[in-house]
Amino acid sequence: MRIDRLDLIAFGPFTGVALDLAQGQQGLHVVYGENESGKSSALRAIGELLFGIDRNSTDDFVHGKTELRLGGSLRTRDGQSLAFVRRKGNQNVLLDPQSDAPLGDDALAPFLRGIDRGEFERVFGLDHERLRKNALALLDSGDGATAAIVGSGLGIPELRGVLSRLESDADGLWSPRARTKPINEDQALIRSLLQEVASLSVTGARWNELREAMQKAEHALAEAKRKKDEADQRRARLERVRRIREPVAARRAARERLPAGLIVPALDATFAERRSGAETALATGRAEQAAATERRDDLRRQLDAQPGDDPILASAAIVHELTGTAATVKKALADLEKRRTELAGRLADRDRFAAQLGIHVDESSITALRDRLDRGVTDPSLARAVRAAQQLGDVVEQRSRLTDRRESSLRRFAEALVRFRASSGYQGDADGLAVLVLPDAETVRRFAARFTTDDDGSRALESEQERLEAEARDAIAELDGLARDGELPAESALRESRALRDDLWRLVRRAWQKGEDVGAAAAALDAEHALPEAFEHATGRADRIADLLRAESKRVAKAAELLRTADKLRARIDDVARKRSALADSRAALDAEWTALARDAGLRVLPPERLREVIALRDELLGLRDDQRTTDSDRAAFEARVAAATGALARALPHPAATDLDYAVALERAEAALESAQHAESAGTKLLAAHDAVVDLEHRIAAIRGDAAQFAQDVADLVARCAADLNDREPGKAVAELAQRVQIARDARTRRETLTKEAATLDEKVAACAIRQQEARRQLDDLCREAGVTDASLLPAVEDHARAERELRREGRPEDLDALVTAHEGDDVIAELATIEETLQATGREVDACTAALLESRRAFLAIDGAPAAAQKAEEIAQRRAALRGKVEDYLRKAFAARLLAGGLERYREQHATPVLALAGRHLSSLTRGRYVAVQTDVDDHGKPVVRVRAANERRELEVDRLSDGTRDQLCLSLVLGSLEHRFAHTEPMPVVLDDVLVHFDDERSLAALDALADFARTTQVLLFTHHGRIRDQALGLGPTHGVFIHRLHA
Amino acid sequence: MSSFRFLHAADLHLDSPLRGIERYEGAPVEAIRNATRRAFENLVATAIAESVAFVILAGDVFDGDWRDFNTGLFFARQLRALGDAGIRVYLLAGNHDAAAHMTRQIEWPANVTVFATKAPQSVVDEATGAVLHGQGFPTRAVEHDLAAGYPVAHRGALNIGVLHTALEGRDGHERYAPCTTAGLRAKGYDYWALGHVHAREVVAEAPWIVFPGNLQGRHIRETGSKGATLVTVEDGIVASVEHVALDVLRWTVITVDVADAKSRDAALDQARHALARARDVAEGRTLVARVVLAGRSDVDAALRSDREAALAALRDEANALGEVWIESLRLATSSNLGGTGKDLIDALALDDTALRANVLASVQDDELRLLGAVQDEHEDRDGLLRTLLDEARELAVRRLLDAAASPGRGTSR
Repeated sequence: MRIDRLDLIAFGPFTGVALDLAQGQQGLHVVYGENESGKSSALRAIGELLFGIDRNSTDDFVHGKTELRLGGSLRTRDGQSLAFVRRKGNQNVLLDPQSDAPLGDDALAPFLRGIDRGEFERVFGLDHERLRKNALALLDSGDGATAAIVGSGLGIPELRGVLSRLESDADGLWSPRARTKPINEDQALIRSLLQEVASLSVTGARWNELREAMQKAEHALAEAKRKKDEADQRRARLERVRRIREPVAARRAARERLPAGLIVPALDATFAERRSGAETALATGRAEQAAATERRDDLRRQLDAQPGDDPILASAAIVHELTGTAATVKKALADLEKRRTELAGRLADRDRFAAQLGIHVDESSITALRDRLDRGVTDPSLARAVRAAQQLGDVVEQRSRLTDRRESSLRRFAEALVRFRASSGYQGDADGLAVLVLPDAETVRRFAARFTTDDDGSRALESEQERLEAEARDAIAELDGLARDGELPAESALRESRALRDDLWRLVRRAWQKGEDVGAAAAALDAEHALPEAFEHATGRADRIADLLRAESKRVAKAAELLRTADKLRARIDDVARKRSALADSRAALDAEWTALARDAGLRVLPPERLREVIALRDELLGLRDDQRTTDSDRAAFEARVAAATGALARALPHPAATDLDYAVALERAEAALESAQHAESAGTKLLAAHDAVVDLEHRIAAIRGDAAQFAQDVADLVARCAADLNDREPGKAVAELAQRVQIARDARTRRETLTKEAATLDEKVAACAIRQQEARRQLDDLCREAGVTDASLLPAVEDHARAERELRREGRPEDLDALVTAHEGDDVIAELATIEETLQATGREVDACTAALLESRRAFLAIDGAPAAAQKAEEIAQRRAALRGKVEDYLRKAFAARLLAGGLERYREQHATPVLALAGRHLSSLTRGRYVAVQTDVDDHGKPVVRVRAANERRELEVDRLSDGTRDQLCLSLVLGSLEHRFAHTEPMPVVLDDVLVHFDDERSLAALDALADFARTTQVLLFTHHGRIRDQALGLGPTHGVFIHRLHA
Repeated sequence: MSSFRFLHAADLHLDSPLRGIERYEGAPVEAIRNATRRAFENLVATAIAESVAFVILAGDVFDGDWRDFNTGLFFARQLRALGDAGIRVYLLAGNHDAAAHMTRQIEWPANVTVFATKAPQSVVDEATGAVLHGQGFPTRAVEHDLAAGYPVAHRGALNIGVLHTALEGRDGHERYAPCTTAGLRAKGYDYWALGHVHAREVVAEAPWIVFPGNLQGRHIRETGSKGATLVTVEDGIVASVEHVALDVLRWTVITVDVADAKSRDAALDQARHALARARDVAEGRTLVARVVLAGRSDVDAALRSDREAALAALRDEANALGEVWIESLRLATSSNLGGTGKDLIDALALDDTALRANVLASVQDDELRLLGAVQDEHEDRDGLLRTLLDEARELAVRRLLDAAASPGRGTSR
């Protein structure tokens, strides 16, 4: 198939562009388009024409998606042809170019022969990269077979990839010696399940074995139990003999101790205890009675040996009292000397104070003194006057201070008055100050503020005016500068000159159209020129100004700006000047107002600040005058107080003085009189105290002496009465001895009383013991009657007999047991029992073992209960096998697919190898101008097929890796052309679309390549798209005679 | 002459597992557990309910080399249950029983008579007066005509011949104890109670020669209703012979023509309808179904490209229906491969006989063992390999076409 015509009706940048590709046998059509010429769109258009416009086409940037249209004309080798238009859409996309009628969407099938878009793009649409890729795929296949297996577009490498994936899929499922692959794992699982089935299964023989084993175990257990029962019985009998032997012997011994024929009653178990109790009570009673009697007799003997009461006990109370008195008297006598010394000291004090006061001490003088002191010795008015005078302090110093203060005040007033007069021009005296009328401080402050405001405003305006004037000067200077640079036209000048021109024109018209005489009017407008010249002159001037204005627009604008600025500044300067003038007027009014105010005070006219100082000075003067007056008043008051105090002192003196007594003298005398009175009062008080102490001490010494004499008399009386042996003892010691004798007599009496009480208690105990013995004897008589004997000494034997019988009756009749013991007389029961015990243990173990064996065998037998555990496990195996089968089939399916494909591929390679390589060799020779002559296959060291090329001048063959990049590109082109040529020998050819594949070839090689492509294009249409002028020029050089046609693309 | 009924069954194959069913999520697992035991319990219950005089078990109670004596204990317990109901049992060893040693280990209850294996034995059923003749298999493979040695019929009694045989031969069954219908007729018996062939078959009606079929189908080749034959004797003459279904689950093969299906889901929908119909006629049994999709179909590629997904979808359908177990999904579909596929097959000569033979010959011993471990005893291995090879060719072509169509292979502009 070939494309005779490609119509880019509405596609990409193209509108109504057509490529006529019908020339040539098949033809090498070089489609040249510079950058931006739409080459890429044109390339895409071929695929879209044949296989449909892509739903997401990006070639809709000029024509809307629905308007995209391509047209074409196709022709097969056998002459079948079709012209059609393709639109974008899902159905009815192929239309008849004449009628627009749908052709049917499969209308191209006879031309495409099953090739789809993918294959077309892979095999027939080749850019440099794809060319290399396809060729490398051929090289990689190692045999140079065709680039694509017929109809599929799959190369050998892709096919090998499929094969390899199938092999690895199969291998992933299973391999003979693997462990972890799915099938191997399932096999292992099934093996382990089979083992489980085996372990869960039990055979019939085994079941019978277990049953027999269970039966044997039952028999063995029965036999063991029988033997054990026998031994048990024998042991019981011997145990009985062993238990009764002792009671039988005891019974026999008791019987021998009793009279023959005595019928022994059965006694209860408490009998022995009761008998023992009675005997014990009897014995204890006897022993205790004897001991009590002996003790009592001994006490009586001790009592009889005790003496009677001492007569001194009758005077015990007097002795006790005298003992207390003795201690008191002893202490008083010890203090007596200290009292005498104290009395001597007090007497000396009394005498000294009496001497001081000039008194002879006797009763009357003491009484008189006491009265005087009670009345008070010192005059209270004197003390008050002195205290009041002392409170005045240092009178001389105070008088001096008040004088200084007055003088200082006078001096400061005089100084201030001088200052006041100097500053205010005041002519009056000091008294006039008080009535001097001055403006108040607030008024003066207000005026001061107004003056200040005025001054500030005036200064600010002055400064503002200076600044504005400077700016105005600058603007004028700049304007002058601009004017110096050349004539400076002004809009106003233009307006004026135009107005002049217009006026002159009107005059010209009037003169010309109406023939008026306009000479005067003209002269008024321009005196220098006649009307025509004047008009021309004015026109010229207006034009010139206008030109200038245009040419010098920046300067003009600047000048206009400066003029505007200067005008503004001038206006503002005027404004400031007006304000300054107004301010000056206002200031004059203020001055007048102030002057009037100051004059009213009759003082010199002063500025407000100075007047404020004068006012302050006047206030200071008034203050000083007030201070002066206060000082005078203080002095007068102080002197009055001094005079009053002096008077009081004079009046209080013991000897009244003259009334004009000086304050200091009066105070001195008064203080001396006060001190003398106080001294006399103190001495009197002390004399009375000493006198009172002397009287008291004399009384106390007399009392001590009396007490001691009375105590000695009392002691002498007592000794005479009851202890003549102490007659010559010192009374204190005699009393102490008597007290001791009283205590001894008391102790003796207490002991006699104790002995008497104890002897009485023992008498009671002897009587009680006799009663207890009597009761015990009665009990023993009762017990003998109970035991059937008359003699209590037989009671133990009766008891032993009864006890033995009681014990035996627990085992049987005593007579039978006696016979049983007799039967075993001489046997070693203990040894026999030991032997039986061993037998029993052995048989017991045997029974246990047999029981365990039976249980075990029964458990094993009953465990086989017909349950389907093994069968269920077998079911699980079957289910696992079913699952495994699916995997095995999957494995075999994949393994078979791989083997089938490997076989097919091998055969394909064998059948398709040589022709392609031969054709590729021819193309390579042509492309390299005969330098390389053949492409051949070989096998490398690893047995892998490889491709080599043979150079013309060398015998050896080169591997592809050793070729230069350029030669390798040529080899690639050769291989691809060879495989296509081979393919088209058997099938309908397809146009081959090449996108700048020669871009890496140098001039010589690209020319050779064009030659080779032209040759190839004899059988297959080749469309070579390029944007390289060099390729286009080389193609032009070959021209139609070589079957090469050039098409230029214009969007 | 007495009137009574008896049950004739054979081929219990107790505790032999159901084969070829893979467990999957949602499958009715409990419904298939211990199927052979439950089928036999059904037989015992039916015998008691129908008050039959006796039960004939014509061989293959046990399965081959199954050794677990628990099976025997279960069987004996069931026989005792029949004895408790006054029902006698006449038991004959088949080829499987001969192989199964447990037959000799069981203590038979008093109501059971086991036919001798050394020579034919005739037993008179005292209660009915019927005479039963039989000889069990002494060994696994009995290749001579056992019936030839059976005695002639007792006069005036109902004569029943009990025999484990393949008659003249039956597909899928070893040709044990071969004999002919004519030979059996010649004995003059009233009823031949045969065993060994698992498909129920009334070979003749005069006299009655009957294969009751096995009690429970155990794999996909044992489809349809399974059970025992209930025989009614009136006045000493066999009055009626009827099949009693005793199976607990039923096998079936469902072939669905999906030639017209436009999508995989449509094909599976057809399959679901077919399954529903089959389940409705399964007499309340759980259905174990093999689904075969057939026909030249556009959905072939979709089904083959992911067999697992198709099977999973079918299982979901079965789970939705309930009480249906999918044994397998078989693809017997063929594809519309199209031009490219055909070109590939041609170019690579994938249908070449020699190539196919080479592939089949390439199967290794390991691989044959692998296949043998999962195949059934009587399955056709070569046939399976050829089927797999056909599927392998489809797979190879599908992979090649996928590679050709895979994205990233288009030329870049």
